[in-house]
Amino acid sequence: MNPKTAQARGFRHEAFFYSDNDEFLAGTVPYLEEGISAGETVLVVLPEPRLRLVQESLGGAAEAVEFWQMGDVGRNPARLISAWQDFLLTCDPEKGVRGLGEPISPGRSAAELEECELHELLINLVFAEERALTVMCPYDTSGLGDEILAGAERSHPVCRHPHGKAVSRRYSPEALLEGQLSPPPRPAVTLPFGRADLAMVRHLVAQCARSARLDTRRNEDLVLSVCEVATNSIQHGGGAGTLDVWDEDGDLVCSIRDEGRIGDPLVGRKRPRPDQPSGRGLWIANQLCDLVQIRSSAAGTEVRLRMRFNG
Amino acid sequence: MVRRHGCIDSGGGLGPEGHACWGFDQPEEFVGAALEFFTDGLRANRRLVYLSGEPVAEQRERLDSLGDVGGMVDRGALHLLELKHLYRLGEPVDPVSQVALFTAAAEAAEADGFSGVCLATQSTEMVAEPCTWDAHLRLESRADQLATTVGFSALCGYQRDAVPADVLGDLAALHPVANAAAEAAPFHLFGERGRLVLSGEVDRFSTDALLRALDYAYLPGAPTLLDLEALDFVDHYGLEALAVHARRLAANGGCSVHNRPPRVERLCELLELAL
Repeated sequence: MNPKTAQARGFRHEAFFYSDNDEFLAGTVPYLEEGISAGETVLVVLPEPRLRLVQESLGGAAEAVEFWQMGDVGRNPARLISAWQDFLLTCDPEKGVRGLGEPISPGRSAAELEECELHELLINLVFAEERALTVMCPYDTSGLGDEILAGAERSHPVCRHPHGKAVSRRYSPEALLEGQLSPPPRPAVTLPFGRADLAMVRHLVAQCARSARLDTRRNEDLVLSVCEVATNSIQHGGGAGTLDVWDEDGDLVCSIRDEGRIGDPLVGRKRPRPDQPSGRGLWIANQLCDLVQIRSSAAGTEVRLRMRFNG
Repeated sequence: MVRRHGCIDSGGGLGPEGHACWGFDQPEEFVGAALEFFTDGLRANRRLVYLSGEPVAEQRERLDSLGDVGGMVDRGALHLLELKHLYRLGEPVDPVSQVALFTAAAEAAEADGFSGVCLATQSTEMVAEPCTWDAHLRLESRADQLATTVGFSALCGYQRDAVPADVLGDLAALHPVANAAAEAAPFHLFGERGRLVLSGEVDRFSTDALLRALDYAYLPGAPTLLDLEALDFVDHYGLEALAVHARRLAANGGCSVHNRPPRVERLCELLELAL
C-alpha cells in the first residue's frame, strides 16, 4: 500500500516520540486542542497516569473529548481496531476525527509489544479508506528499546519528534502474519486433536486454568476461546491441529497449530456482521483473552492465546 | 434441582424420575441393566413392566434372578409384555396416545397400591424401519417430559447393530441419562416439570443434533421454556442455533430461555445475540 494514497484519502497516522511528561504534554495537548477548536470528534486512548495528565492539562476543554483507558480496551491490542470502528460509527460523518492512542508503553511484555507493533501496521490497512481521520501514537523513548522505536518508524507513515516534524522513510507494512513466535520456554502439555477430541481439548484447558488458579470467569473465557480456535483448525486448517499449553511470565499460554493458512492479516479484528456466515471465533478470542497472537505462512498457522494468572 | 443427567454405567440409581437410554450389543447386557433398574423399582414399591420382542416365557427366564417371578406376575407386581401385542411394528407410533397409555399405566399402578411404574423396554424392534424414527424420537421426548409429573420411570434399550448410530445418538440426547454405548452428542435435552433442560456441552459439531433434539422435543401449542442451568459449555455456533430455534418458535407458542449461566450471558452480549 502506498502511504501517500492513504493520506490523500484523509487518513493520517503519526508516531510521536517523547522522553518525559513535559515533552509528552507539549506534543499531545496542542494536537488535541487543534482538533477541538476545529470542531473535530476527539478520542484519547491512553494508559494511566498519562490519561489523567492529559485530562488535567486540557482543563474544561476535556469535556469535549472521549477518554478510554488503554488498560481496558487495549489490554489485548487486537481489540482496538473493532473498538475504533465502533467509535467511528457513532461519529458525525461531516466532522473530522482525531485520535491519540498509546498502545505501546514500557510496562508491556515482549509478546504484547510484538502484537502492538502488528496492530500499528494493520491500522494503516484498515483505515486507508477512512474519511478525515488523524491518529497520533506517542512513544516513550526513555523506557522503550531501540528495536521498538525502529518498529514505530516502520509502522507509521509520519514520525514526529518533540522539536519538529519529519516524514518517515521506513514505512513498510508487508508479510504481516508471517514470521515465527518464540518457542515455548518450558515443556508444554501437548494434545493433537481432531473433530472427536474437542471435549478433551476443553477439559484439558479448564484443568490447566484451574491449576494456574485463573478465576472461574477467565477459565471459562479461555476454554471458549481455545475451543473456537480449535474448531477453526478442524474446519479450515486441515481437519486437525495440535494444542500446547504452558505457563510463561505469569501468563497461561494455549497454542493451537494447524496446517491451514490465514490470508487476511485483519482476521479476528473486525466486529463480525450479523449476516456474516463465519469469522466469529478469532474475534471472540480477541475480546476474551489478554493477548492473542496469530502467525500464518505456507508452513501453517499458529494461534497463541494468553491469560494473565492475576488478571 | 435438575434431574440426574449425563453418562451412566448401571441401570441402578436412576431414581423415581429416571429415564435412561441403554445401547447394547448382546441382549444379556440390556437384561443386566434392567435387573439393576428393577431392583431399585422393587425397593420403591413400583410396578415393574418388562416389554420386549421376546415371547413372555423367554422374558420370564431372563428375569429369573429377580426371585419369585411367577408370584410377582400373579400379584400384578410384574407385567410381562410383548411388543407386537402393543404396537404395529414397522409403522410409526402415535406419540400422543402412547403418552396417554403411559400416564394411564402409572395411575392404574397407584390405584393398585404401587408408587408408580418402572418400565424396562427393549425397543429395538420399534425403530427397525426408518419410517418409524421421527415419531419414536418424539415419543421418547414426550415420555421423558412426562416422567417428572407422574410416577413413571423407564429404561429404554436399543441394540446397536440394528439402529444407525446417529439415530441412537439422537435417542440418547432425548434422555437425561444414557450409557456410553448409546451416547453420541455430549448434551441431553430433557423435561423438568414443564421446562426443557439442556445439559452437558454443545459445540460446532453437535449443533445439528441439538437442532434436531429441539425439534423432537417441541410440543405444538405450548410455549417452550428452555432452561440452561445445567449447560456446562456452549460455543457461538451452539448459541446461534438456540437463537435460531427461539426465533422459529416465536410464532409457534413462543420460546423463553431461563437460567442463563454468566458465560452464556457474556457470549450473547459479545455477539449482540438476543436469546
